[in-house]
Amino acid sequence: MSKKPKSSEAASLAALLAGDPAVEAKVEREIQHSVVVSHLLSLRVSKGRTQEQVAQSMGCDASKISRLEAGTDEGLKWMDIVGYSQAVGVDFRLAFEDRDLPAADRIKHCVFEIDAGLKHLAELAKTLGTNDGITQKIHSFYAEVLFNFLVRYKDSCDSIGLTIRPPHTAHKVTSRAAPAEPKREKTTMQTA
Amino acid sequence: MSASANWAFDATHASKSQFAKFNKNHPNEYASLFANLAKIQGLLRGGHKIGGFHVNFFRSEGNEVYRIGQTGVPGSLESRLYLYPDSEFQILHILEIGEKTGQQADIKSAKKKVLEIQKQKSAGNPAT
Repeated sequence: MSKKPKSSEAASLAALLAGDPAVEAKVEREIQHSVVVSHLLSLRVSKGRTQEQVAQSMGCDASKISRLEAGTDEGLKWMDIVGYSQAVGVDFRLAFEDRDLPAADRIKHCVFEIDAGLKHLAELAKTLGTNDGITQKIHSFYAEVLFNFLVRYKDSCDSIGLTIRPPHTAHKVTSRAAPAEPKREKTTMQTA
Repeated sequence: MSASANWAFDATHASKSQFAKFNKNHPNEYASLFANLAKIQGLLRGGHKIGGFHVNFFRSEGNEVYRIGQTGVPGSLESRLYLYPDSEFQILHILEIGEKTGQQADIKSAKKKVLEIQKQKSAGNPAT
């Protein structure tokens, strides 16, 4: 059974004030048709750029930027997105995600992406040297990534009742509070 | 830019009959106004301060009243949704909706409502 997607608060409020439940879907559709435009707008504001600055960088008039931000995604041109992204100092990438792909494959893909990002940082750290301030920050960030990953991973395991156990002792351990093995080559997950 | 925030809506001071009538007469403009309201809420939730960003369809009308305009509706009627963004409590109070032709009366009414809200706030009841 398909689940109805949750509407935004603005769409719900619009329906409530209009006294017409059908308005919710109409407003939500409008919001969904401006996802890219909203994102671009948010990027510009986050970067503290004015419409004039973006226009100058794109080699167009500020009124074009105004129209672009006031419009919907349907009116967006590919090169406008590319130009706008560059103007606000953001790299633009296009991603196709196969919905038929198993969740495990999608997770693996994300892991590879993270790995590539970390390798990029490692290269930067090597170039700058150990004593550089940016390198120190990269070191801290590596620890932060691991910590955040473990916290979220544990939360996910907890949410589905999984306990991580070493494979060779898995059949003996029954308590979730079992002490961890000091050295582990590989871990598996089993239902608690 | 400050840390992310959780701006919510409060429509206590909005007239349901006024909004229902506007939606009945101008459904596309009504949808556009609320879609733009979602954009502004998104920016505020992203930690951007009121007055700290410039977006064409969002303007100050003075005395802490802001208005959102409709966009992207071909041949549309100039429409306005009036708000009072309370930065202290992170509440977007929805005040008035109307056409450009009636904006003077709408702004006047919106400013009156802001004073009421601020009075209630200083009396220790921010949510009403």
